[in-house]
Formats: sequence, C-alpha cells, structure tokens
Amino acid sequence: MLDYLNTIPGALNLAFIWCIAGIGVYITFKILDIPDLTVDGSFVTGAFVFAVVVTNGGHYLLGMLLGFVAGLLCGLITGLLYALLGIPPILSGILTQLALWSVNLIISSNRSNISISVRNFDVMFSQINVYDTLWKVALIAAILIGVLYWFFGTQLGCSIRATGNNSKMSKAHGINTKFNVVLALALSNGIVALSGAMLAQYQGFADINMGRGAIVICLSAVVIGGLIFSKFAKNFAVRLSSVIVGSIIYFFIYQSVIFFGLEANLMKLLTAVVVAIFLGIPYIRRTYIARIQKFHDNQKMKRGG
Amino acid sequence: MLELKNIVKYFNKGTPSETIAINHLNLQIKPGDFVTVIGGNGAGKSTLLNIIAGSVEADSGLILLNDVDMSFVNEHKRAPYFGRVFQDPMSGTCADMSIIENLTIAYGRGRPRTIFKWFLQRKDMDYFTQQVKSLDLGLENRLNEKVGLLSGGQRQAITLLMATMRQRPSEKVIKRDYVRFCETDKAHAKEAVNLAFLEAKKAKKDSIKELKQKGLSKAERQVELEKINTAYEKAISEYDLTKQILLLDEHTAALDPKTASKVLEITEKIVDEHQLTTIMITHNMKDAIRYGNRLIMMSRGKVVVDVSGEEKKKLTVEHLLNMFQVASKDDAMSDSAILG
Repeated sequence: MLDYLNTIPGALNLAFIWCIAGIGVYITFKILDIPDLTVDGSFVTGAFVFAVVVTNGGHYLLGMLLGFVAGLLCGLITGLLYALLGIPPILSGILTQLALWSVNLIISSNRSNISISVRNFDVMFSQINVYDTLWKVALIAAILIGVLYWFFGTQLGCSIRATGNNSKMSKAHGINTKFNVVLALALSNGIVALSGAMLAQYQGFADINMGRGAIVICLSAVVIGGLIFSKFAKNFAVRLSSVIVGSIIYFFIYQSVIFFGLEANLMKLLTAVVVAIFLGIPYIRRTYIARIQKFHDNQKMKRGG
Repeated sequence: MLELKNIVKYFNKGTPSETIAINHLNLQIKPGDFVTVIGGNGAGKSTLLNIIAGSVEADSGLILLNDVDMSFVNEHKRAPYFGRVFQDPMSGTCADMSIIENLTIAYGRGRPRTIFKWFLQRKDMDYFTQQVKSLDLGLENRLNEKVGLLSGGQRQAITLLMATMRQRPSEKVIKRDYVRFCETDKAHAKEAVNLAFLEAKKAKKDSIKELKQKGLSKAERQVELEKINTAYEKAISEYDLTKQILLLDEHTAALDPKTASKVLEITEKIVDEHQLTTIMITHNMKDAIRYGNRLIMMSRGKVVVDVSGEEKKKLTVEHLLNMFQVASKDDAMSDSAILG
C-alpha cells in the first residue's frame, strides 16, 4: 500500500506536465473545433529544443521559452498550410507532424535521444525530487490557465471562440477567421511544445519517440475533464481547469495499471481504449441508454401504467 | 449606391455538371431602397447575395460600392458595409455563446479586435438590453443564456439585431472610406477629413482641460464628460460613409407562419428606424409585394422583372405569377408550382 502511495506524487507530476499539453489541445479541439495532429510532432520539438539549449549551456528558462517559440512555429506552419493552400486542417496537421520528424532530428543533430542529467545541468525540476517538482509544475499550469483566461476574455480571444463556434457568422461580422485559426493553432502548439520541454526536463532526456500518441493522451485529459465538468462548468477558467482534473484521472489510471503489473507496452492500447470510451459516453447516453429508458417506459404504457 | 456590373458565376466550371448561377447580371441599388427578390429554386438569388457579401467570389464582373470596386475585398473586410441574416437560424449566431456575447461580436464589426480590450464592456450593457427589449420578445431577461437554447424565430430576431447594430467604425476606417468613397478630389478630401479629426480631437482635449479647472463634483463632471464625448462622436460620425446594406436571405423561410410574420414586422421596423438599404430574398409572393419599394424577379441568373414605385404598389400575386411565367417560359411550370 505504501509503495502505491509513493507513486502518487510522480503520477501527479506527469499529470500536471501533460495537462499543459492538454490545455494546448483544448484550444484547437474544443475552441476551434479542429483536431490538430501537429501535436505529436511539436511536443517532441519543444523537448528537443529545450534539450539542445540546456546541453549547450543555456539557462532552463531560455530553453523553455525557445521550446515554446519552436512550437509556435510548428503551429504556424500547420495554420499556413490551411490558410494559404486550403488544405483541410486535419491533413495540414498530419503533414506538419510528418515533416517534424525530420526537423526534430535536424534540431538534435541526428541523435534520437538527448540526455539532460540533473547532475550535469541546472534544471528547474526533475524526477529525482518529486515533491519539489509538484508545486512548480502546478504553479506553471495555474499561471497558464490565468493567462489563457485573460486572453480568451479579450476581444481577440473571443473572436477566436466565435470563429470556432460559427465561422460563417464570424466572417459576416468582420472577423478574420483564417488569421484566427492560424493564431490559435500556433498558440496551441506553442503550449504543447512547452509541455514537451517540461517533460524532457522532468524525465531527464528528450526522445524522438516521446511524442507518439501525445495527441491521444492530451485528448483523454480534455475529454475526461470535459465529461466530468460538463454539467456545471460555465466559467471558462473552470473549463480549462477541467483539463487538469482529466489529466490527473488519466495518470492515476495509468500509474495504477502499471503498478498492478500491466506491461508498459500495452499502455498505448489502454490509452486508446480509455479515450474511445470517454469520447463515446455522450453518444451512448444519448442513444442506447435513452432507448433502454424509452423501452421501459413504453412497456409500462402498454401495461396501462 | 451598390452597383453590380456584368456579374458572371459558374458552379463546377469545366466539368460536365457545369451550371451558370449568375449570367451577366447588372443591377443598381440606390441608397434607401428596400428591394425584394423572388425567383425559383436555382435562379441565383442566394448566390447573388453571397457574391455581394463576399462569401462567394464571382468569376467576373464588378461590385461597386459608392463607385469603389469591392470585388477583390475579402468577406470579413466587407462586413462593415453589409449586415446579413441567413436562411438557417443556426447560421447567424454562435450557439455556444450568450446573447450578450453574440451582440458584442456584432457590435465590434468594422473595429479592430485586439488583446488590449476586454471583450464584454459594462458600458454597452444598457444599450444591448434596450435593443433586445425593442424586439418585444421578452429576451431581455435571458441575456446571459446561450443562444443555442433559443427558438429559431428568436434566433432570427437576434440575428437581425446583430446585422443592423454596430458602433461607428474605427477612425482609421472612417478616414480611409471617406477618401475612398469621395468621387472628385481625393487629395482634398483626405486633407479635409484629417483636419476635421484633428480639430475634433483638439476640441475634446480643450474641453476636458477646461472641465478639470472648473472644480465640479464627481457626478457633474461625469455628465459634462459624457457631453464632450457625444460631441466628439458626432463630429467624427459626420464623416462616416460606411452606410450599411442589409442582406436578408430568406430569413423567414425556416419559421412557422406566425413567427415569420413577427420577424418580418421586426425587420420592417428596424429598416425604417435606421433607413437601411435592404435586399430581401423571399419565396412568399405576398411578402414580396407587401414589403419594400422595389421588386426584382430572377430566373437563370438574370433579372427578368424589375418593378418599383407606383407600379409595384399595384402588383397582385396573380399578376406576379403571370409575369413570372412570361419571363421564364421554359421552366415556368415547375417554378410556379413551387412558388404558388
């Protein structure tokens, strides 16, 4: 039991780090209503940029900042593919993601793995000191939510919300929807890359494969959180915070099944299943469960009840 | 004045299913006109409105607004000049945003949307409440509810409000358009508008300075300040040439007869109040005759009937149907069946 409890801070750390990527995905998936697949690439880009900066003697804050900027550029490319060439956003994302595989290797000078050991480099937090990490990552998540709450409360932010909601109406009211989509995609991927930089820092290495399935993990955080908060979350900050809750739940499931002996290789399968279930719940509720209810009601009526 | 010159629009050009939607169409709409547009399905009515508003680009032809060619101006940049209500009540509003938020989006039309200002401004709330109240639908108590919860008719009414209300555009836009829409001496116009704006700004500054020296109470000062602002707004607005044109694309088609007539009533009221130039597509012959001062009938991408003034007042539904059949002999049968 004590062993299990000991895994909790680590799970929370991962949850907070990934929830930042989740918040990035929230911007595209929920606000813009575009599933952006660039994420799998930009997450690694953030990590590699951070690793390269820090291993070359740069400050960790500079590394995180440059990681964020690199992510912005990734999103910008996806956005421009959509806005200038008219490629559907989901395909633009896939193209950028594919291209980023090579770009990431260029950034890392053809190394598929860069180690950022705490002993050699000054970093903000690491796996070795889980409790110290916890408040730092939680603080970063909180600051990010604060900043986004401000941003989406401004005129520009709200015009992005309108763009995702009804682009026909937005255009008719003078909103430059293409610009807004590009901006939101860039912002989203910047945040995702920041999360990648944080994960590299936390686990002590950046790996070319660390972004595989990142979009699904982020989606699981967004979807689980959204489902739990759907009933009572009206405020935008609360809805953003729901991603944290979703992320924490996901990583508790993750840590638990690992702890109780599930092979790590099966995790991707499990993640996909979890996301599929949570994505499907609203539909199941709407159709199957509603039908069972209806069936019972009708039976009652037939019996004259 | 809105002028369309030789507009051509094909759909699926170069494929076997090529169809011509707008066929060398010419149209002039004077300021203050209320034009009703009728025509069978596929006559090109909606395409016409889409081309005017910029959501569909014409293959060729000029769209002149006060003699300025708008045909290469993007849809969102044309928004200050056109208010739109769509056929589908879902299209005109953001379902996930509240009434207030939707109105705020509409209110910002023609203004830059930056990160330096909060989206919801407390000072506008009274105005919004009053506007929603004027619809007489009891919606003023539901301002913070999501628009998705409203009925189709209510949503269309809100959309109408959104299409017609706005603040003056930013000073930059006013200046630009004053010069752009000026027919004769553009250089002179530029000088004049710059000078006028400078003077207005100086007057405002001076009066505020004066006010500070007077030493009034806070409430009094507020009143005075408001007066100064109104005077400034008035001076600026005199140069605002971006008069709106309202484009209504069968905006009552999806509504039940009672709601439809209510929405039409509101339409008429708003148009009268703001003296708006309006183009309204309708499938209802009676409405087409009853509303507006000009009626055009389209068939196969062309204007086939164009009546206005006294002549329009004398029209009857039967008369109109006859005209329709004469004007478009080949497809008259099917179309009159639809329109009847």
